Amino acid sequence: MSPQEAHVFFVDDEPGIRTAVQRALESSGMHVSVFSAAEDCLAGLVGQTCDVLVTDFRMDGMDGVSLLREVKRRFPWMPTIILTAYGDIPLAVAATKAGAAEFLEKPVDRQELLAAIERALEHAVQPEPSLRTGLSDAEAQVLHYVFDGKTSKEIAHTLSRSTRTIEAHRRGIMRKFGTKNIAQLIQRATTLGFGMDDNGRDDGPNARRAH
Amino acid sequence: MHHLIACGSQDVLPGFEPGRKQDAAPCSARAKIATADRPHGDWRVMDHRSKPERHVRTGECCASSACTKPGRSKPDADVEQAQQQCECAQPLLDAPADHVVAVDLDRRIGHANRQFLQVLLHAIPESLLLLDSEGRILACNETAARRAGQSIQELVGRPVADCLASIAPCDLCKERMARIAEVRYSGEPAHFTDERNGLVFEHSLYPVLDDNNRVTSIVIFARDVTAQIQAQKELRDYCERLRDAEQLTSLGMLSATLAHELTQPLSVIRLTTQTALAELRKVNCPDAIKRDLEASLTASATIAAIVSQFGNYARQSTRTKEADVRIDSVAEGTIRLLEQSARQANVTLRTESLGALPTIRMQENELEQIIFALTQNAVEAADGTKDRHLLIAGSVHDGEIELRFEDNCGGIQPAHLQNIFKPFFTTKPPGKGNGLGLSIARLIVRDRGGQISVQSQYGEGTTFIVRLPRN
Repeated sequence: MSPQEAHVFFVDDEPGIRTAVQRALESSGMHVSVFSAAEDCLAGLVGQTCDVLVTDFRMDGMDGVSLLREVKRRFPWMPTIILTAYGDIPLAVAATKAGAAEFLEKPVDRQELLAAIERALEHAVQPEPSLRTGLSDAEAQVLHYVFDGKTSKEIAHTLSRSTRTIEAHRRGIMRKFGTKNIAQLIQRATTLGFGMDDNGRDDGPNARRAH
Repeated sequence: MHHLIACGSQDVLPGFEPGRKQDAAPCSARAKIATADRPHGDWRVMDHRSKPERHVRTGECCASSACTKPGRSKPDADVEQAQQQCECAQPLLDAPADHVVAVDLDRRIGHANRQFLQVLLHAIPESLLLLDSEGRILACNETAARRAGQSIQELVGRPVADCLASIAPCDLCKERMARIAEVRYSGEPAHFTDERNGLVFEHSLYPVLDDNNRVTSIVIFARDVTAQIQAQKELRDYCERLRDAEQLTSLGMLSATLAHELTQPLSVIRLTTQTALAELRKVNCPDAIKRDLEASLTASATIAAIVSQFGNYARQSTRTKEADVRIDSVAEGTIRLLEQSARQANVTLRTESLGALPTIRMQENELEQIIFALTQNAVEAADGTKDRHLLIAGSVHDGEIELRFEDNCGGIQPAHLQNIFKPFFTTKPPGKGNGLGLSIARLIVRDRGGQISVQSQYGEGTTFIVRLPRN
């Protein structure tokens, strides 16, 4: 995908930076959506296609690393870039662990930012159009257990849901991936980055109930 | 001694009879008689009329009623003798019959009061001595005897100078005797503190005067204040250490705050200038304008380099000396520092379940700064007119340690709420607060990968919630 076609999501709680980044990216032809909070960004991801996500680390409410973790769970193919304070090594490690493709130090340089986005786009795997809005929280959870080789009945028991609900989620997942059987699903999901880590189990709002 | 106490008790503690309601009325009757007949309800009058010196000299009286040595008169008999000698007892005999009943009760109650006072005097942890005008010990309590390393019986009747000489160095003896002499001559109470064998004593000397204002005896209280002095010293040392550490951390924190706060506008300057330059390159723009913008970019790069040095300094000064820190003990120490100002502001500081929290790996001083800033914030928010409180409670959720600072100190105005974490924001008058406390607290918490949030009901109170990852 060329940068001119890319839709970039940018999250930062400082209005000045939001405007400056939006202008910088738009001037090079990208489409940009800006969000002042991680929660708004997650809501935006469900409705629109996002090719690259750029987020600040320090924010009130959900911080950048938590946002990355949630994105990796439900939109694992999506390249992510995190902006960190200068020389913050522990944070850089945390960001990489959470699945950030790159991290950039502030104050942000326009050329560095554009180059990072271009690199991220080069390596990006395109999902099926039906999967572009990602998996729902419940679907991400069910897929995680499917990866573990669990039957619908077992998943229903673990998540305290009915087997019918789990079956409905499985059908939804199959439809989004455009696959016909479990083998195809696992193969495609792995290519898109699902099941690469434990995030599916730990971060969902229902996760506590499941254990 | 017990004459003083016996008479004194009726005046000082009229009608002391716990749990016996029926005695209440006679008690007050007795109190009335006593008042009518003894217009001077103080020790001076009692002392004068019961003539303790005579008893001591003749050895008939045991100055301490705890004494059971044979050959000494029993306290009760002694009181009777004293009352017979006492002119003031005469009108009682002429009193109507119901007053005589009251007098009988008076004696029984007086006896109970004496027993109570004896127990009380021996139980108190202060030394208590009564000296006659020549410096002989008329009476003392058990604490005094214990400190002198002798029994009460051994002490009573001896000159206080002898007893002192056996336990204290010569200079100290001289000094204490000089104080006693001073009280004897001046007739004025005296208070002083001295040190004996590493223990610090606070002495109070009270003269007992007769009608002619002559000192007939001296009462001495001596209190061991060693632990108190030690605690005060420790607190002073702790305050000094914290101030030193605080200055260092503040410098580091100030640098970090500065670096963080400048990075944001710098990002904006750099990005917008670069974008403008990129746009201008697409069109036919005079080179001079492009050069101007490039110059401003170079200057902003210089600022960025300086800011990053500030950031480096902050990291170096705060990332050292990390340890597994016990939250409860840090909170306790920090609260102790603010106890005085909290008392003045009528704010009660309490902690809850902090002892059960796991240790946290961070610099102790940083945790202190968080707790200090949030506690001070509550104390300074209180107007001092009503009883307020701050509760610091701890809990663990999903691998995070949560500290709640909940107060009812009046809350924060909604308009201020979004600014309270900003550096240099303060609602206090100039010179009172630097507006850095909360911003530094937030910086530390965020540096640790944690979160700090605030809820406030204006007019009611504020709750700060600090969440720190368990490493």
